[in-house]
Amino acid sequence: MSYAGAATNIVGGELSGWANVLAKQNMFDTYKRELAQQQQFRDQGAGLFQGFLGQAGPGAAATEMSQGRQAREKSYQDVAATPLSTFTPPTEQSTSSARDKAAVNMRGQERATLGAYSDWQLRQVLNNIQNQEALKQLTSFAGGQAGVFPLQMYKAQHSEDTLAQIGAAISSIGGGAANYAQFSQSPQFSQPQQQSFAPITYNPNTYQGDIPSGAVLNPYLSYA
Amino acid sequence: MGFAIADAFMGGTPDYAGQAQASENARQAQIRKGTKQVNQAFAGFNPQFYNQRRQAYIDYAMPQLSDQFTQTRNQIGFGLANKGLTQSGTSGKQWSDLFRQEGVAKQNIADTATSQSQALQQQVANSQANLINQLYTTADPASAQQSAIQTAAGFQAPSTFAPLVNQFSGLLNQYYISQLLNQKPATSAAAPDYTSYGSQFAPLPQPSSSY
Repeated sequence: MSYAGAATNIVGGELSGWANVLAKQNMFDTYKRELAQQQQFRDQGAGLFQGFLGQAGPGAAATEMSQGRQAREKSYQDVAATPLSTFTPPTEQSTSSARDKAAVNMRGQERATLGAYSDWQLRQVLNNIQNQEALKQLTSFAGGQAGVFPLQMYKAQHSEDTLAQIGAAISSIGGGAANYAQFSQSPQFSQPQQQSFAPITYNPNTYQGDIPSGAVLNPYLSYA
Repeated sequence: MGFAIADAFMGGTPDYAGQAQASENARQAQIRKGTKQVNQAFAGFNPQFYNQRRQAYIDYAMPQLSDQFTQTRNQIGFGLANKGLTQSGTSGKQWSDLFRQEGVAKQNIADTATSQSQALQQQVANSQANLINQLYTTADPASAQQSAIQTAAGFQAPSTFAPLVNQFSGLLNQYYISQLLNQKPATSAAAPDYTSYGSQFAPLPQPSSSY
């Protein structure tokens, strides 16, 4: 029975050991998956930022300002085409109408150029709002996923509990067998070593004293 | 040994990670759904809407500008005709200034309309962003959609406009017009008197005998 107990202990211990190793590997795999997932979030954020950065460059600014200037000039032309009166007497007309129109148009062009900066600024504000929203959503999702990670590690840590329990159970069987073997055997102990009380015969050849020859000496007493 | 059997009957360790992951997936799905609903509620705020807003101000301000222009033109015309300056260089200068100011006033209206349209566009974008931000806290697409509809309806309601400031006030208050009108007497049937100065409406003071 002792051999059976030892064997079951070995088997149970082996299973428990393997359970720990597999659980450790599962935890590491879970960690690597979480790292990869967070890296994906970071890559998405980096991609968004690069796109936002392109919208804020001088090239994009020149394009937006050009579009804003053209839109403003068109609005000036549309409004200028609207007459304010249906009839203008001949005596109430400018003698330099061509020069007046040219002056107004020139002023409108410069005005549109200046106003284009406001158009570009508005576009930047709107882009920033949209960009912030996109990054906020990404941050929210990444943070939520990170919140699940501790529970995933816990799950990985206990993923081989069944195997560990089986190992522990087998070890417990081995322990029980060992205990049974220990207590079911007959006493096995050796005779205590008795002190020899056989009389010691006096030997006149080695004795140095006044004890008569042939007397029985007590070995516990000194005869010096 | 009994603990293993009991644990097996109880179903083992609960899947906390699975439940948490499912909850997180549901939260992200709610956020995506709510964002989509908010964007749908604000879909009507397109460039055409903002152009209509801009045109609405132009349509509101142009009649007022027309009234101001007509009044100013009549005043200038009367003043010039009253002084006999309808065929003078001064008349040409006055009309030139009037029509140039007319062009500038129209550009002012166009710029004001554009500014109001852009301000509205920024307000709409901010409101939309605020509604989406609420989703990250509540993860409730239904409330976000309801708030989005109410906010969008508020923006589409007509807004009140301030009356147009007189665009020709500076023109009428020009110094040389006032001086010119004061220096030249009104036309009359009698021979013009080139020796007297001052307005006929404000007679010169009588010379004093003591100085």
